[in-house]
Order: sequence, then C-alpha cells, then structure tokens
Amino acid sequence: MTYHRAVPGPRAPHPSLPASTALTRRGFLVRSAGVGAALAFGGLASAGCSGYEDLLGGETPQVLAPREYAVLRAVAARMVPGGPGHPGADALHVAARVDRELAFHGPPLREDVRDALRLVEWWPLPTRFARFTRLPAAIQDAELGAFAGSTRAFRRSAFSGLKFLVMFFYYTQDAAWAGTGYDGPWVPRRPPAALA
Amino acid sequence: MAIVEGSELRADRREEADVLVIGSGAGGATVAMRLAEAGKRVLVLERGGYYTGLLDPLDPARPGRGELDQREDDMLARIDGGRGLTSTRDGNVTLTYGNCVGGATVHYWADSYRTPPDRLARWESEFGVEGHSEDELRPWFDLVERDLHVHPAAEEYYNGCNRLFRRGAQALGWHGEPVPQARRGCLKSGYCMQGCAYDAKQSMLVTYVPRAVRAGALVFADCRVERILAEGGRAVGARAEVIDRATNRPTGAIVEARAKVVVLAAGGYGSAPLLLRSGLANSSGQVGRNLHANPCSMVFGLFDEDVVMWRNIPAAYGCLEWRLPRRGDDGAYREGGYLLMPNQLGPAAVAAFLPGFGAEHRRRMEALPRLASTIAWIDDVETGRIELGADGEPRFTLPVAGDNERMLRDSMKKGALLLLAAGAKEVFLPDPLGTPIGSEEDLAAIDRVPVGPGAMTFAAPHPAGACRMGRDPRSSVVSASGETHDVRGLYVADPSVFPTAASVDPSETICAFSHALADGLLARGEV
Repeated sequence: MTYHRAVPGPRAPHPSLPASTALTRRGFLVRSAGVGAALAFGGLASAGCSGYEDLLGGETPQVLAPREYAVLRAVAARMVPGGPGHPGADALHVAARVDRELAFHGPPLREDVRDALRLVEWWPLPTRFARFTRLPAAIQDAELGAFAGSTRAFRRSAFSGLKFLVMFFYYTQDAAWAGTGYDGPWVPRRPPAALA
Repeated sequence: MAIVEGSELRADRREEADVLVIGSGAGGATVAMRLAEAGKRVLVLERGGYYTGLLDPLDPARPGRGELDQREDDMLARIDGGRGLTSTRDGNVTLTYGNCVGGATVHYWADSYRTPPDRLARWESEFGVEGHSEDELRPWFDLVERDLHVHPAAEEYYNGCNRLFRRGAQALGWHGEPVPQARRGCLKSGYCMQGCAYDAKQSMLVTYVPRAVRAGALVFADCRVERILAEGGRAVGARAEVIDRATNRPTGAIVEARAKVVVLAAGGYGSAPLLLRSGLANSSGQVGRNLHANPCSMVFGLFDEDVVMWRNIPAAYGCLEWRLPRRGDDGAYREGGYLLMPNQLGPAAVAAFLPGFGAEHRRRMEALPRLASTIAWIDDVETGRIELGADGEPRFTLPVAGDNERMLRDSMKKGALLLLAAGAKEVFLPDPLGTPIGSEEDLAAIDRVPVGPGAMTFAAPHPAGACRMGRDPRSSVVSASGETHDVRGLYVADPSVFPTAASVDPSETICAFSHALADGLLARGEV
C-alpha cells in the first residue's frame, strides 16, 4: 500500500445537518408542512376502509391496515408489473412479504411506511380527481415517476423507501430470478423460524 | 464449550466472571479470546443470534445447522442490525452493522488492511492516542494476520468485475493493489456479505469466538444489554434482556452479570447508545458525537461481456490512488478522500439500488450478468451524531453535506471514469433518473445530480468516533488504555474509540487495538 498526502483535522458537525431533518424517529420520509397536510387529509379521508376490499387480493395483512395494504399492493404491482417469463409482484405476494417484515420492526419504520402509502394514495386527488388506487395503470406509472423525480425530498423519500422494500422483497425470491441470469445460492434455503 | 442461545435462557440468570464482554465482533471476540486463553473467566453477552453454516464452528468435524443460507432476506434478518433497514433520521444513509455472534465480521468482505501509518500518527498527534503507533501495533497486526490467514488476493479471486476494475484503473494510471484477504479454502461462491456458509472467510465466528469458547469463555447469544451497572465510580457488570429471535422481542428473561472488568464492544453504532442509556462515561459530552461511518457511493456500468459480479469474492483488487483527499493551497477540497473498490451486490440489493421501476427497471435487471459496479467508502470529515430518542432507541445523523458531499460526488466521477476506461458501454448513477455518463464530458452532471434524501442512498458500513479515544477527558471518552475516563473498570474495544474512520477497512485495526487493550489489562493485573 502507498501512503501519501496529509489530511486535515476534524471539523464540527455540518451546520445543515439536523435542522432540516425534523423526524423524531428513524425513517425515510422527510417531513415538511406539505407532507404533514397531505397526510392529515389522507388520514381523515381514509379513516374507514370502505372502497379497498376489492384491492386486498383476499389477503389479510398482519401489520398494515387493510387500506394501507391495498395501496402497497397497487404500488408494488406497478413497480414490478410482470411480463413474459417473469411474474409480477402480486404473483409473488410482495406486499404480504413486506407487511410480514414490518412485524419485526418498531413504530418508526412502520409509521414511515404508513405515511408513505398515504402520501402516494392521496397526492393525485387534487389534480387527477382520484386516489392512486383508482387510477388507470398508465396514470399510476406517471404518478410514481413524478414521485421519483420530484424536487421535493419527502416525495422522493416516500417513493425510494417503498421501492427499496418492494424491489428487495421481490428479487429475494427464487421465482423472480428467471430471465435475470442469476443462478441462485449454492445451499438450501433455511428460513428464519418466524418465516418457516 | 458453550454458546448459550436465547431459546435456552428461559429463566433469569445471574452470572459472575472476571471479565464481562458486551459484543462478539472483531473487538469483543479478540478481547474474549485473549483473556480466556490467559486463564480468565470470561462471559460474553451478544445481542444477536448464533448462526452456523455447513460446519459447526466449534467443532468443524461436525455439520452445522445451515443457517447461513446465502439468501439476501434471510441473512439480513439474521446477521444485520436492524435487519438491513436501519438508516439515518433522514433516510439518506443506511447503516450496515453486525448483529450476531461474530458481529460485523460475519458479513464483512474480509478485506484486511493494516491501519495506514499516517492515520495512526494523526490520531496520536491530534487526539493523544498513545501506545498505538505503527511500531507498537506491528506485533498485533502480525499476529492477527497469522491467525486470520491474511494474504493478498491471488488471480484466482478475480471475478469479471475485479478484472474490469483493474483494467480501468491501470488504463487511467491509478495506483491499485491486490486487497489483503482473510480467507482459507475459499470456494468463491460470492456470498461473503450473507455470511460464509463454508467457514472459509475468517470471521470472528469461526476464529476468535471458537478459540475463546475452547479456552472456557461462556457466550450468551440473544442477550440485549439494557444497562451497564456501576457502583462507586466503577463498572461492576451489566443487565441484559433475552430476545426471542422469532419475534425480535424480549422474552421476559433477564441475565445479570457481574465482573471485575466490563469491556464494551457493541460496535461503532452500538456502544455509544449503551453508554447513553446507562448514563455513564459522558462527562465530556462526547459520547455519540464525532460519528464517522465511511458512507459509500456506487456507480454502475454495463458491458458487452459477462461480468457476473455476484460470484467469487467482492474486492480482489482495490484502487488506493484516492485514499487521501487532495486540497488546494487554500485548504479547499479538490479530489479524492476514499477507497475505490469493485462492488458486489446480490440481485435483491442491485434491484433496490438500480434506477427506475416497471419495464425500465426490469430491462436493467435482465442485463444483470453484464453489470459491473464500483463502490467508494469516503473518509468522511463532516461528523454525525448518535442520540437517544424518547423511547431510548438510538437516532443517527450523518451529513451528506460539505466535504462529505464533495467526496461522494468526486468518488462517483472517478468510478464512472474507471468503468468507461474499462470499456463499459453504458455507465449510470443510482439516482432516480439513472443519470447516464457516456463520456468524460458528462462528468459535470455529477455535480448537479441530487444526492439528498430520496434521491440517492449511501450505505455506511464502518462506524467510528462515537466514544473516541484521547488524552484529554474533556474532549474524549476513553484513554489510550481503552478505559473510560469517567468509570474505572469500564473499557471500550470497538471502532467507537477511533477518533476518525480508519481510512481503510477497519477490521484489522479493531483487532489490533483490542489485542493491545487485552494485553494492557493482563500486564496491569486488572483481571
């Protein structure tokens, strides 16, 4: 190894560090007045669960509320829609897998996922006059794309947090590897006790 | 010979020992092994579970339980703290750390560097870290490298990604070297990050922990220490709750351990929160401050040829050209300040980082065999902090700002340049738009691409600094002996004590510091 050049001394924490991160908990959803208002509206408007029964796919979530689970299923279905030779997120029960993972985590992560789902569900209402789950697939894709590329950190964070969970728990499954060239592990699966 | 698991700890237990070690990673396992082999009664409390591969680490002639099953989800759940989902408060940085017997060495890449002499000299001159010079640590480095079979990566360890990486670095005239590896009998399966199923990677799980146990140490897995106990200004033990692996919740059983000396080795993200929860060793106010973590940037490159980055070892060849930052006469950052390495990710992690969704994302995934990637762990200078939330759980902040941000951006430029020089047909960033870098002219785009929360995620695998070592009790937490300034008999043996990040992968530095700490305890007759 070659060593060269000096490095500077330590510095104080950067002044921009904590002020913009008003979260009181671990999470991927950066708060702001805008997201607070959207979530408050979403929370009120979605206090009941009517209108979501047909979106649950006959599944019963462990952690998420039925309406939250329905939104997660809809988001996952657009993120991994499936196609020739590979199943979609729904076929691999990705929403159920994410919901089950949340059981191992505390309130901070669960609440962030809930907030992100409410944000995605209600954000289109003022412009599309419908919730995300009631939009046509092409419009849902446009909405998700707008979240991904938004200049607003809370929208990007909602998208990237959900995407991380959906993509990770889709592509950990053997059935997702067809067509990717990945030839899989060399030893048999030994699921954790709680997942057996 | 015993590793006692949570499922066996149904009733409350009281234990006594000469030394209580909290954590069984590179720091804790080293101290436990040294003191047990010196004939001391050693008790280790480990927060995570005990998982084995195809062989029993305590008796390799017997089969293991096969829990290191190479699946990304199973293994994140088993061996990673936070099951892979811990991040900073703003979500911009994910925290990678161990949570199992063997600690982070179970998922580390086995890259084994000695601490650069310039870093040790800086720690001594700026922070008063005495007794840890290059000469003083050399015997411990020699010993660790013998114990862990550290050797430069030979050609057989180069997968397609490593060969392309070397080609790119050499084309650019950048200095690189084979990466020293702690391995023996490697089968090159490519699952280092998931925990080696074959016990070939020389993690603490298969080296120092079994040696400690064979020498009489008792290891309790699934025991989350809630509080370190102190009486009259002296540490006397700790209280832990037993965790049920199936639910990740306390079973209700308690382990209370008493010892002459307590060695805290809960890791760079874990030790500071435990001191804060215990209300100990923080008269300086420095516990939890000064957090460094080597946040990593990534760049992806698509090649005409097959790369198959998921097989063989992660990093056989590393680029050291940019290890130290280069600054102008005015002190302003210009470039460098990171190790640039080949990357290795499994398909699920790749999928999580690749840009886009839907058909676009699937197109990228179908090109997986031809995908290569670089990774750079930046030697962060803007420090973060660990604090406790109202629920007593840690909250982490790490700034993607200032020189940290400049380093991250520069490291992506260098990664992109390298992939282009290696012949990549398409180079892109892991931002939501997958910003393409087609040529050197496109590098300026990296100065503009958003890197904040939601735009890009940086993994941080090498925490340091939150219980830093130093001469001055007003500005540091532990002395050069590893003992806290405030509490007698309470030592810290993990990267928390490094005043900054180690400038290289830190495992060998942690082991060497911990050997020195154990040697001091024995030499002074404290145990």
